[in-house]
Amino acid sequence: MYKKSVIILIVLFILGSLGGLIFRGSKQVPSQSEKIAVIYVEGVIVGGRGQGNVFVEQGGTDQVIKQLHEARDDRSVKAVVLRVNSPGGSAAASQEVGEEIKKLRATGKIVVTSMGDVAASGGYWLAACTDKIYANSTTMTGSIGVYVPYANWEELYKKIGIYQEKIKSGQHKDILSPERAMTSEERAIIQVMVDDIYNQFLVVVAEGRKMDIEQVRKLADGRIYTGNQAKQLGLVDELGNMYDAIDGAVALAGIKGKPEIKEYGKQSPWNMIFGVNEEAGSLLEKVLFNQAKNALNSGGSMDVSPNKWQVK
Amino acid sequence: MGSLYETLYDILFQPQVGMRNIAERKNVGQAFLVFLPCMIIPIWTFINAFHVNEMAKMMNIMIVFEVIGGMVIWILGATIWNLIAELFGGRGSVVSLFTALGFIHIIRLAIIPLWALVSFMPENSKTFLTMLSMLSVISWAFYLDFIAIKEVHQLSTAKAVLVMITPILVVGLLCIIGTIFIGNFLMHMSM
Repeated sequence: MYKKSVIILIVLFILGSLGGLIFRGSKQVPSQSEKIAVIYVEGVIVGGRGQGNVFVEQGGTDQVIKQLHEARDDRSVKAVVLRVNSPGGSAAASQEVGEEIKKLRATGKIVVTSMGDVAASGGYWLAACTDKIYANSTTMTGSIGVYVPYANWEELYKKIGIYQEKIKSGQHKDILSPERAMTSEERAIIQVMVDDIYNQFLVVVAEGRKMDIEQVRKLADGRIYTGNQAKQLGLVDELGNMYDAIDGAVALAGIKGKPEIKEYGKQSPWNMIFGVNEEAGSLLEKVLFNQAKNALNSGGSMDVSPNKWQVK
Repeated sequence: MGSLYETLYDILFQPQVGMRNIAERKNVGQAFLVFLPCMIIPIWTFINAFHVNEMAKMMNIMIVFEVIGGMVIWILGATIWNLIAELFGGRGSVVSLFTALGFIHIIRLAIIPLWALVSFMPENSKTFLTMLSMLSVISWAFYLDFIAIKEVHQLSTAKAVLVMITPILVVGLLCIIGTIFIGNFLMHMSM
């Protein structure tokens, strides 16, 4: 009986401690600290889900859009820093992400861009949709424009004896085919489309940067600018690195004290251990980045190839 | 149920007698009855009292893993220690040791009053005191494991200590041998 009483007393003591802990804990619920979300846009901007596995997610704007959604739904996230390190990519994918940024801003959350090495063309499209843009003075940005790549291999095909026959449903179905020269009518069709996308791009920049559209048009001849030049031209607000952008986001969101930084996206264990290493990155990312570098070197404008439109 | 109270009392206040009785009765059902709440309650308390938001999302999974993990360690501990104890001349049975090790899980509940006590301490000492409280509970559990091996297998203190540390020594030895082999292999690879 004595032993039973002692054990019951101990059990009651443990239960009391448990209740006390829970009660004390409920009074000290840590106020969900205000967070700054950091979302990375890296590499060529392409639509779709990209590639992902258990350890890492990369490529494809669906991931970025998903992360923007998560940041929008997370009440503790007061502002988002969009870290852009991209030479651009598909117009549709850029537009899709840009619209998602606008929706995020419409909920009252601040979105600030921090430009890395490159934030050109489609990368700049995204930046233009945000509240404030930070760039390094040597960041390559701008490249506001659109192009459709087209190669004519007709002569080469003739030399090696390749003759491709096509049964078409319409005369323009094989527009941009590399085995024949483009007709003037087809050139005009493509030009109209390029102009349409270009004008949409201008509107995005003019609205985002609160600039006159004609003023934007003067700057948007496809050339790239350094961060320094872009600031002088009004395409960038401040010069600074990612942490300056975070500080800027904190100030704009009116966060008092030190906010918690919440990074979105998975980091590969390889990168965690050895740091960012291009060789360790995926083959896809390398190929895409090289493509983008080539595009940038050759006057870098937004790649709006029909492949991306899925109109083939 | 009366015997359960007595067994728990004995484990806490006169462990030698308690372990001897457990070894005789071999009441595995009661050991399970002690094991389950003693695995679930501390982790549930930790998540709910300390508002570990990330863990709270996966509480059910964590509890399942905790119980399964605890079960595996319990079974492995009992079988390995029993085998070594028999090699050292122990005369107990694996069921007795298994039951005794199951009852020892009751000690895990001691962490709750200790956490409650720590919650009243100054903020800068909380981490240290939490670690200290966990360490003290682990030490107590190890002491009871030692008593269990000693009483179940009727071994001398020195032999009981040897039985306890043998698995650790073997694992350490295997690690050293493995490191030597891998080092040797890598050296030849680089040449």
